[in-house]
Amino acid sequence: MIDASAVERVDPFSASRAWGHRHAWMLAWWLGGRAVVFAAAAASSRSVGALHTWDARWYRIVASDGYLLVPGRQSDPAFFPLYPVLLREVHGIGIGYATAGVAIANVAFLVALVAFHALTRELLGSALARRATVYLAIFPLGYVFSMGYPESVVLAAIALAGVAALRGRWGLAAAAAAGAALARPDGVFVALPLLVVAWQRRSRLTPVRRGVAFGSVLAAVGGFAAYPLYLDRVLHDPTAWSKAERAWGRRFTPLGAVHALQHLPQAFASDHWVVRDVAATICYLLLLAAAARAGAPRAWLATGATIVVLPLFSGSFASIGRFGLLAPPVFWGLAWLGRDRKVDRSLRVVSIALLIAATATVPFAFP
Amino acid sequence: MRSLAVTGLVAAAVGVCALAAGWSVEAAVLPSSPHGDRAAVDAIVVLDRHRFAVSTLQLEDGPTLRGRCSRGWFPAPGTLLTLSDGSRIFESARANAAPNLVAAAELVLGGCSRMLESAIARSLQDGATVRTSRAWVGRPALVVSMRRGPSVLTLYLTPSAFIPMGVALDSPFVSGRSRIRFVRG
Repeated sequence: MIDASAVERVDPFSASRAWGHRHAWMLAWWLGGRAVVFAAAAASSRSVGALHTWDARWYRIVASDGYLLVPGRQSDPAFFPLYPVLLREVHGIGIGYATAGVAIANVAFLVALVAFHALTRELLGSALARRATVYLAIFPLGYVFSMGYPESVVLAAIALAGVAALRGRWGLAAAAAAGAALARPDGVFVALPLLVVAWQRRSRLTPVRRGVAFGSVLAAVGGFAAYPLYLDRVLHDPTAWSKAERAWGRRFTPLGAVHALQHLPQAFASDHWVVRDVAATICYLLLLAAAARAGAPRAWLATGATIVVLPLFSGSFASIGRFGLLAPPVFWGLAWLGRDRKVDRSLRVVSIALLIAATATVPFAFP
Repeated sequence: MRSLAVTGLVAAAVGVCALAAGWSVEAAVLPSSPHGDRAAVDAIVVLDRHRFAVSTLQLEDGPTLRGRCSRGWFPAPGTLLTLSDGSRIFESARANAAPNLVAAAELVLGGCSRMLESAIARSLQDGATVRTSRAWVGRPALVVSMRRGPSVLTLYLTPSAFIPMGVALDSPFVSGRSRIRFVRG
């Protein structure tokens, strides 16, 4: 005899309906946040085309023409390949590059919100997860998640890798970690929390599953290494990425952070917008400290701190506001600050106001 | 011990798979940069190695002039183009201000490496439409034509080493053509 109630329990349609009901609020915040960004972009530059400017142009060039290192000049090997790969694939079905870029970024951001919520709930509980996800959806610099940039893809991959590891789905964790590292160099740092989870669970896993678990750490490194290897094939120069970075004014040195601080007055004189990145860096560090108070795992805090601080060693504060968006603990820290109802409401209102203001700056300053 | 070896082998296999998959996706999906773009970049690399050039150049319908261009100290660092009509054009390496359009065109046509490199790089960075063809300019040449709006910068390169042998400029403001030969100083 078949138990009818058991059949109903495993019905995939009712399961997905229930999942949809549980997560509808996330879709609403995603829609609301993105509507704010699109409206602010359209109001500030009379079109949403502003969302496909700055580095988005370089990603489009990679997708349409491939990599080309112009010696001593700013050129496209500075940009990692996964996002241009997605761009080219979506363009292949007949969608223009600009539309494809913005569509990929926004859809990936919805995936990022869902994965980030699941990760946060596993680590820090439901209430904090919900607040953190809302803050992520309306974060002031989060307009980048709607631009033709890879940030939303990377955040989705980082969060997916983290939650997959916590749920013991190591194959998925490996794929997501490799994807994160192939989309942006910061993505490789997801290897650290994966390593800690794999180490903590090593005695409960069979040798093969343990191998896949530790392999997910190596997958992040493998994804990262695939890019210089590819550059060696097409440009005959595996170091083309770092050469292009130098032309963009980034050169990693042990004293880079000191140089970044020393050169701050000159940087401010030539570009006032650097203030925004300095303020973002300070905010991110404070939010990481708040995340530590919230009980965030040390491996994730270390990953977040590395994502925020490492770019300073290239000798510049430029774009750290954008890079820090890839550090999940930043939003956990914000959610910990918002545990009081009044503070929570204030944070939401201020975030939305700042998101509108920040989006309006897109035509004037690169994120 | 055996389980440790299995774990290590599986971990390594997953890492290698990620590397191979990443590489394969890039190779399968992303296009190679066009031949003309690569030839132009190779020309920049060649130019960077040369400090002296002799040329014959003609601006608009003016007389054909002989030019000698060198990069060095005069006494400030920069590029000096000396033309057979007695005129001298100096472009300081330190100055931020660009020379006027005609002087800039003469420096490019004269094979002055820094200016020609900049002109090529700017075209590539601005997403110029690059076309290649073959031509005969006393010897076989690869012609790389870079169009940005109404302006076209054309390079005549040796087909295998991509050494610039000539330049043509065509824009609403200034036009001209030249033959270049790099010499050891």
